[in-house]
Amino acid sequence: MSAVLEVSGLTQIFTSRQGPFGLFGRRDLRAVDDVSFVVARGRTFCLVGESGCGKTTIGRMVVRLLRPTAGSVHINGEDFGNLSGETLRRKRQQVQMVFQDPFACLNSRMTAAEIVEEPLQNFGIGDAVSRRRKVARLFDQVGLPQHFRARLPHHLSGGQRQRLGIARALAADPALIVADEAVAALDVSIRAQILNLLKDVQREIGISYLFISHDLAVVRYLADDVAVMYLGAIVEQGPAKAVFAAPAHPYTRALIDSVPAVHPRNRRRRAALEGEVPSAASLPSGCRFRTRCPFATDICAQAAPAMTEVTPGHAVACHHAGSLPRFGAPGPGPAVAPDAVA
Amino acid sequence: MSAPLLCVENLSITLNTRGAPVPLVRNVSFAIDPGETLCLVGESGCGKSLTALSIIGLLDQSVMQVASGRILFEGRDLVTLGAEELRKLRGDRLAMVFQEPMTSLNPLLRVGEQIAEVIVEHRGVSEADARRQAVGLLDLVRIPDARRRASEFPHQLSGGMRQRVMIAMALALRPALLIADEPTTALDVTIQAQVLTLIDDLRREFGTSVLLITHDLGVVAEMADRVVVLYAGSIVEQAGVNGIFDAAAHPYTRGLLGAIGQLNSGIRDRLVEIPGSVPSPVSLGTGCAFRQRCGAAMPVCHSEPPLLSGADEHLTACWLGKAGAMVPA
Repeated sequence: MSAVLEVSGLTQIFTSRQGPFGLFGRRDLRAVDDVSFVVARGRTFCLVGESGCGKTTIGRMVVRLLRPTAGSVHINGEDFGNLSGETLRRKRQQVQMVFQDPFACLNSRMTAAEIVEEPLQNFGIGDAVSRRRKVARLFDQVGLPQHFRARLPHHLSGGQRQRLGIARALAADPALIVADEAVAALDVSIRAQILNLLKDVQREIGISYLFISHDLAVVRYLADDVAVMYLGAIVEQGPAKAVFAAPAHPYTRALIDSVPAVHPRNRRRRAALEGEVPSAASLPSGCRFRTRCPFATDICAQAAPAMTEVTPGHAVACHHAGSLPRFGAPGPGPAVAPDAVA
Repeated sequence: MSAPLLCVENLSITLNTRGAPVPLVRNVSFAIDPGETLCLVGESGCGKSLTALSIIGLLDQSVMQVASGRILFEGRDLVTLGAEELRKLRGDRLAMVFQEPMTSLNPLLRVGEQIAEVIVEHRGVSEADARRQAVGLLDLVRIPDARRRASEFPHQLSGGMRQRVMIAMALALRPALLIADEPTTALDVTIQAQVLTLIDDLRREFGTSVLLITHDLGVVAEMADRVVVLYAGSIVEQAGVNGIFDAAAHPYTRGLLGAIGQLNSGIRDRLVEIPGSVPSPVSLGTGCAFRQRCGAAMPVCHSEPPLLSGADEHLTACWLGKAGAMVPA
């Protein structure tokens, strides 16, 4: 079986109590609603969307920092949903995480070498000598000089810390790395270094990534497969090439259209999306994007659209997917400049 | 051509330490014409925000200071201007919008009152009159249902709306210069597009000059008339926006453009990286600050690079240009 991660019907409902002591009842917030996708071995699957769309919550459920309200998470064919306690801790070796802020996610009292060695100790991998050898190899792999081993995190730059975070994630030989906005906090010149590193590592050891990002340019560069999220649900999903070349959901089109030009020549007046994302505590009826959608009609308020394939492997949840103007053609919705799709 | 509205001349900012003062911004000069958008672009720690804060007089004087240089605005030098006079200018002729609108708004005041406060303070109109103007301003920055929103507190608004409130407050008295420090960095990409469009529309409508500070070359491509590229406290390149995107001369600018151009091209080859990271201002020393990371560094780069001037006021601080078509400025 080639699926490293299989997520099916994943749902997370946060409940908050209203008023003092919850006297005014409870309110449900559907942060993630019935999300399914598969991450294949050696591939990069990107979840893309804006703040509050639920992408981080999915990442946290995959590594089981958060228990799903419903749905299942299979890693290497094994159901993670039913695991708990020590079994879960041991199985977590297969899925490791790289975080957004390399300043916040490293223990400031541990040396760089200790940080990388810790997972090896936690999972009881090797003896002291072989662990030291492995740490040295990981430093080489992520491009950290060996003389950094005794340094503390605050002696490292942002880019070096992110390399260290990647070395730590790789230490236990996981099958999957969940990277949540792993390059968002980095400067432009450093971002390219880390993106290259992630690709190099994947080429060398065939690891899979679940890469969570709001940045379409980064997603386009990295993703083999992509899922676009809006308000807790996937609205479009498929091979990255197909989704970026022919986005079929009005929201995906608007997202791509909102990315600033890469050259002043391509400046244009954007038919920017109106309004803002509604609250997940009071979802619109029917299609959740309809309140901002330039193509919305009556049916969009009545029924939630199902995921439908437009081309093999490329699916979209939109009632009007078949009748939207050709992508890039002038119409009521956002148009897209040639440089953004070429 | 009209006289520039703002002229920054040889501005240097230093950090006070027990030892020798550490230079954070070194010899920065640029000018903004009326109605023009100038982008200050660079990575974290390059001095772009400090430059902006020194213009509006908000540098933390207890730890840093303007060591030399002049900031001429409407004929007056803001560096030597008294605190009281500066206070009168701020909010009136000069206004600023910050990155994180939640921390720049008063959480205990309704947004309408906060906008009205600026108007009462500077124009001495009645509170009721100022509040009416505040609602008009919220309307101007396209906040739907402005009258109701005016009586809400900042935490009741979304990030995009808070930034609109900041812009409304900044534009309340029709300033000649709007300084926007990473105004869309904290916002989602669809909201960023809305806010950038808004800033540009208001600039057009009122002829306001905009000093836009950003790390994002995409924002520069959308907004700038002129561009100043900063690296480790110094200007490495300055030109019209097309000059930067079509004929970048400095290896640092080229590296930055290479990285984003490739990312957006859809081609998935290995990205061109700029090796290493930005040096600390404490260990800068003399010569070109970029030389350790520069693929084209030569022995001569240990001396301060010359500022060379090309066509259309295209300035580059690089020894490479010496051999090329540019001439000393």
